[in-house]
Amino acid sequence: MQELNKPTTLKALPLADSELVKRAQRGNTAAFEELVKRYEPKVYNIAYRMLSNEEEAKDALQDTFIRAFRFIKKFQGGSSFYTWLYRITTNVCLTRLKRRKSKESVTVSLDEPIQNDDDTVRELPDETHGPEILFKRRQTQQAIQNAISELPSDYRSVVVLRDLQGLSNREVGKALQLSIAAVKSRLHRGRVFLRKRLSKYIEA
Amino acid sequence: MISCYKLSLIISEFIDGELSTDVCYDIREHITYCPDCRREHEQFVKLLTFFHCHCTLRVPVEVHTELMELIQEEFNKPSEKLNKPRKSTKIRKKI
Repeated sequence: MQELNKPTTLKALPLADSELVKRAQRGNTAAFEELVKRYEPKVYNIAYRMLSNEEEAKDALQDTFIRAFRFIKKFQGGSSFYTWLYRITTNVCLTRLKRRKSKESVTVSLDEPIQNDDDTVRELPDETHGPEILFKRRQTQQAIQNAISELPSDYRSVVVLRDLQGLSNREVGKALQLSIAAVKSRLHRGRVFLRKRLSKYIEA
Repeated sequence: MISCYKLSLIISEFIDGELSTDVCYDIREHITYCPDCRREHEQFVKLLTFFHCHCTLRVPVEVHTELMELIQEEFNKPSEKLNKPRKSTKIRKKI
């Protein structure tokens, strides 16, 4: 009987984002929580890739969803919910980067390691590989993050959304309010930059 | 025949499958005979493969819990407060 009383509606039938948004706009926090669960990994990944700092990425994640919650009633569905959410995420991150830049004029050094609390690399554990392969993967991941953190922020947001999060050029354009031509141009320049920075790993 | 310079400008679009069949054909032909461009193409493809293999990060469980607490707090606030500026930019609770 206890099982029957559990509020399982949202879990039993995965609702479309648009339906969850409608419910959240009517003040249904369970619907909003479902949207959080659905998109927090993406938002966290975008924030981490943009900011290269775990603590800041956590703050940015929370900042993003709090803003989304505050303004969800104003979301009119002109774009998909996630495009709107990723726009908030990139704006939150770009604001933080600007604030950081004004505090410190020095950019991230090539030799500087990624800032992690406990010196671990936050990737999904892959138990099919041995410690050597895992070590190499960690090294590569660190190199990727270092290279991304050196990208100018305009290129960085495009590369993160397009290549790391898998959005289409159109979706990136909507999220960043750029033309598709501008997305393509920034994406290409960003990739050229990263290819040079990561040549050691790519050629290995 | 497409030039190496022209190819270097559109290689991203080629990899993303956004060029016309004719242009794709020219590029494929070019990279078959041009080792430098072939290498460049292979490097771009490998770069994107790297991204797909190395970029999934986990959200710490406590961060989700804190976030939902904060959202609940927001929900419990009177609605007129929603448009007021926030007291602090640092909203995440320190553990």
